[in-house]
Amino acid sequence: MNEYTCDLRAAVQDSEPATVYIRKHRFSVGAPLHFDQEYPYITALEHALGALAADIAGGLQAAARRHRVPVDHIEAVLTGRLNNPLTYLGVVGEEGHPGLERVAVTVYVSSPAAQEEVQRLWIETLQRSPLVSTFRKAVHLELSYQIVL
Amino acid sequence: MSALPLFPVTTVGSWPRPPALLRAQRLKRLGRMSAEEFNRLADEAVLEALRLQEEAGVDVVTDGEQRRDNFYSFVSEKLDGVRLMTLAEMLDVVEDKAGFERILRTLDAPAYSISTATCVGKVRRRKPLALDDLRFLKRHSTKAIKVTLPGPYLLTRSMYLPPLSSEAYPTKEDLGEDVVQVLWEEVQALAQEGVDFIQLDEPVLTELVFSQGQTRTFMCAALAARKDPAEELEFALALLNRVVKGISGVRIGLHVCRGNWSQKEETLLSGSYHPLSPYLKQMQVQQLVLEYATQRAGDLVSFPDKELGLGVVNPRLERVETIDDIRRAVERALETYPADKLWLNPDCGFGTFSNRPVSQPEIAARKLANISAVARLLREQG
Ligand SMILES: [Zn+2]
Repeated sequence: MNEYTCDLRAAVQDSEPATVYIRKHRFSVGAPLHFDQEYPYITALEHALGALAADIAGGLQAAARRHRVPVDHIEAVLTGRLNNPLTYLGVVGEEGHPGLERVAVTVYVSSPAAQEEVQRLWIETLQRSPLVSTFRKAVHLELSYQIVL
Repeated sequence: MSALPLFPVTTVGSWPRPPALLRAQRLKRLGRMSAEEFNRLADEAVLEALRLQEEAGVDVVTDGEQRRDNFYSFVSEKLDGVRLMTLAEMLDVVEDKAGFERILRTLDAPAYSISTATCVGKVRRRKPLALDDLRFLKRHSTKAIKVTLPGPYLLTRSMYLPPLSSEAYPTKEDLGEDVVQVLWEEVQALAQEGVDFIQLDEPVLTELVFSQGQTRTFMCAALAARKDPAEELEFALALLNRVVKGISGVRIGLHVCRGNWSQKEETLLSGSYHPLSPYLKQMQVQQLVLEYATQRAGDLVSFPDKELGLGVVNPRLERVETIDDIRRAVERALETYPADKLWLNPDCGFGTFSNRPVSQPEIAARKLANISAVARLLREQG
């Protein structure tokens, strides 16, 4: 399996959102970015960041299962900061770019296991994560975990 | 219990739980630990909290709320019609989701780790809320005992989640009727058992007046406030006075603060008790237990007919307030209150939310010891 490609199709008709077709699934993606809290769709940026947080949380869960370490709960919180959101709107004279500059992820873990064990799972999770490997090259990533009793 | 000295020293209730008890709480929630095993650990923790209070010279002791997950959601184990929900489950049903997320960020805690009680049916008192805790304390201490209970407005407001509660109660006012009944029964039972002090906690009253309509705690997040704060305060007042109606032979106190969920003072509410004072004055309680060690509480407000449980140390600060600090605070209060109306206590509990304590037992004990030292000094001066 050293050749894996991810094949999908995104179609937009008339107005947003786009529909993404992937394997036998489909999901909707709104505008690339939106500043209104009431905007009815999940933006492309939100999908990307949601995927990153879920990748880490899910990856940690999978690592725990692989090593038979009991874990009761995992929850990740993420904050992504854009370099300059005004450039997305095309505001004249704005410096910078609309891309992500910094993404901070904190993962809360509840587990009766020893701290060293959780630490091992954490390192393995980050090493094996497709999205962490990708984001690392593009964005300043701050990743941490906290053990919650 | 012998008569209390001048300037009785007490706590506002909660005490940081030991790590073993926190682990046990989680295991019990997950159904992996029996109630008996949990109680054995909790008994030990209560005795330790008691020992530290007694050594620190506290005159009116509490059980440190060790058996409770936090100061109000524990009622779900005792009442019919109430279910414990994690904040993660609540995310699906709360009205103000963005506000809720802000609150979670401030807590710096995962949504699964904090639970809240939610009304899902007719509310009845299946078991006593705190009577067994009181009996345990009485067996192990000769000191006067304070028992804390969530206030009726807090319970009504925080438990009413329209999608889950409205079948049993069309409005939160309807739920309030049964909450009053439950608390009234409990207060009667505690009084008959000989408790010395019952403290009702109404921390969200400040949220009504200081948050400019912005939801600031998850206790209020379930039900976005649409009402005029004055109307809500009238409602809170009416509920409380019905809970304590006809009670005698026990001191009733009311604790109102501005939040105790974070050590970051700037995330907590601020403002003086002034806007609340017309309501607090009408509450049929002997004592108001108020925070004054924090700047956020503003100037001392006079409540002429009531005792003041004066907050003289900030439970969230690592620095232990000195005897001089505390003494100055008491002397300032003595300009407004007569000596026989002043009690001394911290601003709030030291471990309001079990997995988010704002202090450690050693620091908390040193703060209490300094309060006691000041009380002794002032008593000697006569
Ligand atoms: Zn408080």
